[in-house]
Amino acid sequence: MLYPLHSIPIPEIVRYALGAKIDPIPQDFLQQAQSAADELLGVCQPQYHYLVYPVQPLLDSFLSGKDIRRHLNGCTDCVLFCATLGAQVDTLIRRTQFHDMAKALWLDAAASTAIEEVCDGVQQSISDTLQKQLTTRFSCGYGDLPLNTQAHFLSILDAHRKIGLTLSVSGMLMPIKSVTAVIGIFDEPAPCCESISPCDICHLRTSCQFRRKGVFCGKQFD
Amino acid sequence: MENNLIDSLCRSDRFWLLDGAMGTQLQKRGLPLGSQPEIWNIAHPDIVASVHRDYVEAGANILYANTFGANRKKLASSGYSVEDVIHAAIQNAHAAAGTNVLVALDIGPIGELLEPTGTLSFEEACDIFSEEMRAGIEAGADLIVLETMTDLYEVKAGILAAKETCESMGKKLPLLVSMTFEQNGRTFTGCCVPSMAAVIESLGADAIGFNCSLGPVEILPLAQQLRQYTSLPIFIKPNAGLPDPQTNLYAITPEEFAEQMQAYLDLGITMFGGCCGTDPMFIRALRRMLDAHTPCKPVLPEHRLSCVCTPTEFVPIDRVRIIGERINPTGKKRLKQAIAERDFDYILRQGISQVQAGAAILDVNMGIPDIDEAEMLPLVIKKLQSVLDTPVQIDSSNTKAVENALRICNGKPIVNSVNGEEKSMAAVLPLVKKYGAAVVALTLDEAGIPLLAEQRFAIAQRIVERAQQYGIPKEDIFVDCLTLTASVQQKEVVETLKAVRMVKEKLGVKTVLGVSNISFGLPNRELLNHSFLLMALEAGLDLPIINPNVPSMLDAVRAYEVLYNQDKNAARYIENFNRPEEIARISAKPAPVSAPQSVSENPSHTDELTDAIRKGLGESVRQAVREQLQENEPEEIINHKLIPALDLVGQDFEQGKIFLPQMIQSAQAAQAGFEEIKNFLAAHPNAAASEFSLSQKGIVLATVHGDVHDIGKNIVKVILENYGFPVLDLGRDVPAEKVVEAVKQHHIRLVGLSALMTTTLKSMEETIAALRAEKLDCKIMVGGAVLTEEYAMKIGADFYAKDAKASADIAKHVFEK
Repeated sequence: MLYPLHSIPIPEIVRYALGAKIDPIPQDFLQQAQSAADELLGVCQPQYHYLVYPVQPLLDSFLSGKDIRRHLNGCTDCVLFCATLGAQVDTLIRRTQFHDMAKALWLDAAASTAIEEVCDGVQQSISDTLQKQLTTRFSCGYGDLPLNTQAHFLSILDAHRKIGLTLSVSGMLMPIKSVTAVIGIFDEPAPCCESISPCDICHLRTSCQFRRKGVFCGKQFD
Repeated sequence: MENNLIDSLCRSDRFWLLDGAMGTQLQKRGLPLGSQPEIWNIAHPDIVASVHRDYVEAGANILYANTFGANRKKLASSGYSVEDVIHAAIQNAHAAAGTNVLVALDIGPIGELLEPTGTLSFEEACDIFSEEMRAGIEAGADLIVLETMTDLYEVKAGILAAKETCESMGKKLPLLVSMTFEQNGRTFTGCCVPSMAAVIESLGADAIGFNCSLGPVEILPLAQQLRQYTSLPIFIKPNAGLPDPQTNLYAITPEEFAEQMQAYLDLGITMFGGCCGTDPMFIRALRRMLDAHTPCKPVLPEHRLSCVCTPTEFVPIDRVRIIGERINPTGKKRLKQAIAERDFDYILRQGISQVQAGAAILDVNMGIPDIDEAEMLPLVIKKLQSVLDTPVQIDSSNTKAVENALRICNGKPIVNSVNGEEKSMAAVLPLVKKYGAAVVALTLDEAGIPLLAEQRFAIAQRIVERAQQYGIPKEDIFVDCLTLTASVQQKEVVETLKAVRMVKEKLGVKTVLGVSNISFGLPNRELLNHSFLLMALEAGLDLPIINPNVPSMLDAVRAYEVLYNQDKNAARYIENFNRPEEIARISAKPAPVSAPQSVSENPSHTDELTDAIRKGLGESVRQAVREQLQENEPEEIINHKLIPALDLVGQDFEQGKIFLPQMIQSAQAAQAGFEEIKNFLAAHPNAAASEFSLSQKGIVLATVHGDVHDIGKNIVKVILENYGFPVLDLGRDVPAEKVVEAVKQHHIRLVGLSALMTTTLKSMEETIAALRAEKLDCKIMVGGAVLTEEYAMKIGADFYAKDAKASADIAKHVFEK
């Protein structure tokens, strides 16, 4: 399903590109981010697909580890979700690296922001349609959920056929700017917000460059 | 039987009814979600056959065997071989088919992305398909179908595999190819309908079509577009409408489906079936609809279109199209050096800048002495196609190089060239036919270039006739009447123009000319080039081979298109000359410069060059270096100006005063300075050039095997190069042995390895182990998002580079010792 992405939040692009949050943002950063966003919107074809699935059979079969169980605590059903910006974004970033690496970095930041934006937008619309609150997104490779779960995940979603998303031999999503995730659907309308902080289960929590600078590698919630 | 079958499929006087979905039918009968339907060919043959039988009873004439994903990648962990699964599948289908229904070997996408977006190589893709096809043909399939394809490059691998496998087995099975499009008229990989038609028809498939993703209503406009671009039979196998996004259920009924399919009859389409969401009821409804109609004669395109393309960029030769000449080393010292040193970045930048200036096609020629053209030409084309969508012209007199390039080239290219010599035609034309290319026909033969236009015309005619005998239509032949140098053969200039006119009018083919040759040996070459270009355009030139980065050449084309009423209402002309850069150029004012970076003032370094680097102003750096080269040695400028300025930038970065994009912009500005020095050295070979030899301070960089995320490695490369370290960039997804080989060959003392994923850290460890096992005297630094210092040491690296700046510090440390 094509997602209509019309804009990408500029301050988020700047934060991704700099790996730091600065305030106020200088004019030339805003300009660079804006022109990257414009160019990216011209080539990306955001696609998404999802299935609603009961939690228990998934936990019994391929979703292993204690972290995903904690994540889906209080959920009878969950959403299996995938999204991608499409292969042409990869080509654009690759091409730009050959003649303007700084611009490529801005495009890369814009693409990272864009895929998060697509995920947020789809997640919101799922929540609206189901009239339910959702957990945050939990992806293969987070915490103790093995990265090699990804192959089975994609085959359940038929992700190649549905959105053109594939896996390389080494377990990488391709196109590069893509996301897969499990999203829990809370049974109760207002769940106790005991959601896990993504940093708590991250393998890099002790060495993270972002945390040292006081920022989060994913989308900032504030 | 086989030839009759192809003829029969291609005839428009009868309908062919294909079947409906298989996977969902098996799921209804108990196949768990996410597991492979193909396994059931062996585990539950009776159930598979019962689905086939339902379709036969519904009236299908052709069954797709349950082989969609039966390739070695997808079956890898299933415990079954491709051969076993396909044999069982074809058997199951035949069991249901009886004698009047045909069985197709059904081949879906491999499931991994091909290079350059993914890591699967073109040849491996061919091999995977061949294995499936061999098994299918052995098992008795009547035809081959490639379906649900979204990548035209993968389609090319599939068609070549089908042709080659059939040929090696002495069979001739019909080949049907269908692709899957989205509502925006593109596939997931960006392929457009005209490119799909051009490539699939040129490569020799027997029918072309659409399946999956959309319903009959949404596919109709795509089919109407396809009808304009191909004369092949078209087949349509849509989904049962669009699925409900919440429930994933398809909404339309079999009757609605059949009714919507009626719209295709007017296009003369005679082959139909169903994809996701359809079942035997849909096929039965289609059967009833078809039985109530008689086939219409298809309205085919009036004449074939001359065109070249990549999947995303379709270039019809319906107006003047510029072929960029700059990736051809003849007379270009800097490019020769780049080819010899395998400096792909330089070559790629030549491509990108020509496309940005207005080239529609890029000529690619790697012909320098002592180079393996058969290896280099396809490699460069692969690299160009990984960053550009522009179609290419494969330019070589080495047949092996041409064939290798044709094979891996994505889209429909031009081969430059064939000529009237018997052995040239016999060698080149079969390749052009096999790989579905267009070809440049040079009007010369065993006797050389004839002086008179009439003689050149005669050669052109001969080549066109011979090409047609090979099955190459004249729309795919671009005749080059050959530009002779005005300073040597002044009298013959006009013969070339006359020949262009004759060829264009009497043979009705498109024409191509290398323009710049006209002015060789005379002053003010640009004036002659652009005057001759205008004259040639007037005579009927379609494809000028020029340097698009010379503004007067492009201007000539723009003006011609207005004056010859090709650029309607001067729309393109006006749009171009309203751009700020063009306004500035015409009024001879300096072009607007992008805003400089804000940098913290440092009064102790106020010199112009340092300042320009810190502000990231490449043009100013270039200018300043050019001035300094008048008085200073290159080495002095590097060591006393460029490097200290970069050190300042590095300090600012470490202190958090500037951020990564600014550091890179400064590095790029410095790079403009280095490039200027390289140009100077290429022009003054006596100047000390030791700075750039690999063995002294060379660094090998690679993103390890299995990993394709290489922006981090590329950032490190930009920074290192601007500290004066020559970098041998091995690219991404690099096997350990390639790293070892490069280190040995160039006596490298520092290797940088990058990996992004936890899964590819293993490859990093293996690469380090391979280097250590060879006992090579080189240091290894590693970096990447998931890497920590502790882990770096654990896997045996010498250094952990936390960022690009750190890698430059490590390099300095290693080479200072």
